[in-house]
Amino acid sequence: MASLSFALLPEAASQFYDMLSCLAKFSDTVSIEAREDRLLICTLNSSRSGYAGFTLDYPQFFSEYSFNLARPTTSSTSVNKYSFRILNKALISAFRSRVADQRTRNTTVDKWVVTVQDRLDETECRLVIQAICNGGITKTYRLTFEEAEVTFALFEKNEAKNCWVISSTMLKENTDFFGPRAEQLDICHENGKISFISFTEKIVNAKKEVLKHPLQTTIAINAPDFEECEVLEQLHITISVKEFRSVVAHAASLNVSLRATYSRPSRPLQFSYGLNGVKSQFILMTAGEYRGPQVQPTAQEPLSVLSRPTNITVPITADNTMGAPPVPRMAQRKPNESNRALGRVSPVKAKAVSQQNETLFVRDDDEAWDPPNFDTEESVRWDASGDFSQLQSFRDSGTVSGQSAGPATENVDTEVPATQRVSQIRGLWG
Amino acid sequence: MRFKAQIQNITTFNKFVASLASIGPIAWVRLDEEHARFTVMPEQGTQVWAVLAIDTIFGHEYSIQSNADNTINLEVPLGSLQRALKSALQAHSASIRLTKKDGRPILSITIHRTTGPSASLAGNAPVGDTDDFGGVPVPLQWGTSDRETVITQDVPIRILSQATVEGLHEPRCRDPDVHILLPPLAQLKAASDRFTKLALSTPFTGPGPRLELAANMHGCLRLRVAADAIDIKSVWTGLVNPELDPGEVEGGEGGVEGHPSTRMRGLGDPLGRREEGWATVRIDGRDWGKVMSVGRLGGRVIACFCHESALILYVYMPDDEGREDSVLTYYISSYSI
Repeated sequence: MASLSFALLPEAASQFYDMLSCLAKFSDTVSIEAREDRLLICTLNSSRSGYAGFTLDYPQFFSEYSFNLARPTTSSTSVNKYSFRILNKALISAFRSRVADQRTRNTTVDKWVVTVQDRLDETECRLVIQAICNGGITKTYRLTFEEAEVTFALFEKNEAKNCWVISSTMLKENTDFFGPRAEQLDICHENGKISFISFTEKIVNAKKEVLKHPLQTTIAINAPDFEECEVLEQLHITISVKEFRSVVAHAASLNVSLRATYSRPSRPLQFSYGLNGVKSQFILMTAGEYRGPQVQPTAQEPLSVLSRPTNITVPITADNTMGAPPVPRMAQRKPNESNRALGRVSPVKAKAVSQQNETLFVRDDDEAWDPPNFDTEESVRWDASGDFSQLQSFRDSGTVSGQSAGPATENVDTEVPATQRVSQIRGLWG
Repeated sequence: MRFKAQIQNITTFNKFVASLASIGPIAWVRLDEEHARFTVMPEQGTQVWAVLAIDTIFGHEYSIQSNADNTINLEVPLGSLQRALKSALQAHSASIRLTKKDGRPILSITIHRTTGPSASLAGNAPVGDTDDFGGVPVPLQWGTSDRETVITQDVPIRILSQATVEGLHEPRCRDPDVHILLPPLAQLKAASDRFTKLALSTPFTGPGPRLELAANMHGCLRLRVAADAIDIKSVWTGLVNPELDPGEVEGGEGGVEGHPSTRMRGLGDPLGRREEGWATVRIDGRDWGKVMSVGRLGGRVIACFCHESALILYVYMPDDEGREDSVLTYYISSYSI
C-alpha cells in the first residue's frame, strides 16, 4: 500500500509528454519508481539492448509532490520506494489531448494532478490523472497499472573513458539526414573528426535488389565543434539509429548539450543530459570494433541489468539470445487483469504513434507538388506489406565484423494482445 | 569509368528528381560530355524522357570519362537520390561522383554544410541558462568561426552496359493535332486533383478515374470528368497555341501547311463552344496527378494532343540565362472509351 500524488504545471506536463513520447520509441510500457523526493520514469526495450530513463526532482520539476509508503520497510538499509509499470500508450494519451490544447489555444488546463491508488480494499490498481481546467472543469483519466520492480541497466562510469559533448540542436540538424530505413549507426573518431555513419546490414542477392539498398549516410563533424571530445582514434562503436535519433530529438527539444560516454564495443554507451530538475539517461548496448593497434573483442552481450534490492531474480550476465525482459512480479490481486492491461500494443497502431512527431527531413513548400495520394484520402485499406521492420527497436547486431544474434522478438507469440478477452484465453490456465 | 561534378543548382536538381520520382522509382541515367539524360519508364503509366544541359544543374567542374565514348549509363533509385539531395538543400556546396564501396558501385554525394555562429553559440549555452521565453540569451559577441559539417550520402546504383540500353528508344508519335501552352500548372493541378477526387467518390464503371483532357487551336483547354452520376468540366480560354517553326518541321514550309494542326486551326472557336476542332485524350486521374508534380520546376509547358491517341508534354526548364536547353518530355497514352 502506498500513496503517491504529484502535480504538474502546463510547462512540466508538456515536458512530461515529450519524455513519454521518447520512451515510447523504446518500449510499449513505462516503469515508474517513486521516492521521497524524486520520480523515475524509465523503460527497457524488448531485446534488452536499450534503456531510457528520466529522473524528475521535487521541487524543481513538480509543483506538488507527496509520497508515503505505508508498508513497513523490511530492513534498515532498504529505501522507501514504490514502483509500478504502465502501458505507455494509455499514459501518453491522457496527456496528449491536453498538451495539444495548450499548444494550439490559450491554456485551458491549469494543472495536472496525478494520484496513485493502491489500496487493499480496491480490486485494481489505478493511476488517476486529473486535468484541472480554468473553467472549473476537471477531466479525469483512470488507468490500470501493475506493481512491478523497475529494471535498471548497469553502466560502469569508471570504465568509460571515451566521451564527447555536443549541442543537441546541432546534432539534430544533421541527424535528420539519415535515411528512414537506416538501421545502425557507427560512431568513430578519425582524422580529427567524429563521423556518424548510418548503414543497414542486408544481404543483397538479386541484382535488381541492389537499388533497394538504403542510403548510407556519413556525417563528419570536426572535433573542435564538440564542447568536449576525448575519444580513442579508430574506435568504431555501433548503436541503433532509431534509438540514437530518439535521444537526439528529445535532447534537442530541450536545447541542451548531449554527453556520450562509452568504453569499447560490446560494452554499453551512455547518453546523458539534464535541465531544470530533469536528469536524462540512456544506456544503449553497442557493437563495433576497434581498428587501432590493439585488437579488442567484438562480441555483443545484452545489457547487464541490475535490480534494486528485491525478491525478483534477474540474470545479471547474459545469454546471447536477447530474450524477453524479466517477468515482473504481478500485482498482488487479479493477475489476469493486469496481464491483460500490459499486453502488446498492436504494431500498426504503434507505428502511427511513433511517426507522429518524427520529421525525418527538412520540410518545405515543395511538398505541395507531390502527387496526391488518393488512396489514403478517400479510403482506408489494409497494409498488406507486412513490413514492420521499422518497429523493431533494435535490429541487432551484426557488428561491423559480421556477428549476429537471434531474433529480438521471439516472445511476441507468447504474449496476450491487449484486445483479447480473458475468456478467449482461459484454456491456457485451464 | 569516371564521373565527377559539382552540383551547382541544388534546388533545381532536387525539384527535378522529385518530379521524376513521382513517376517511377528507378531512372535510367545517361551521362555524356554535354547532356545528362534521365529516363523513367514505369511498368504502366506515363514515361518521362528528360534531357538536361550539363550547366543546368552541374557546374564547370564536370568531368566524365569512359571507354564508350565518354558515356556512362546508370540505373539510379530516385527515392534515395532525392533524399540525398534534400540533405544538400541548405548546403553551401555539394558534389557528386561515381565510385565504389565494398565492391558495389555508388553515386557519392558530398555535402558541405555550415552552421552559423549563432547556432554554435546556442549550443554552448550553459545548461539551464535560458531566458523567460525558454530561449537562449542573445550573445553580445558573435562566435569566432562557423562550423562546417561534411555529409556524405552514398546512393547505391547499377552500371548499365551499352548493350542493355541499346534497345531503349524514345516513343514516337504521329504529328500532334493540337499544341498549346498550358495554364500555370498550380491551377491545372488544383482542378484536376479535385476532379479525380470527385470521380473516385462516385461509383463508376471501368478500371479507374478517367479525366478527359482536350484542347483546340484557338487557345482553349478543357478538363472534364464524366461518370455515371456526374459530368463536370472546366474550360480555359485565351491560351497560346505556339506557331510551328518551319525549320523544325519535316518538309519545311510545306510541312507546316500539311501539318494536322494547320487543319485544326480551321475548326473550332476561341470560346470553345463548338464541338469540332477539339483534340481529346482520356487519361488516368491518378497518373495525371503524378505528372502534375513537375509543376514544382515552374517551367513553361507545351502540351501536344494526338486526338484519341496520346498526349505529350514538353516541360522547359529555364536556366539562369533564360535559355531552355533542358526539357522533360512526358508521354501519356490515351485510353479508349
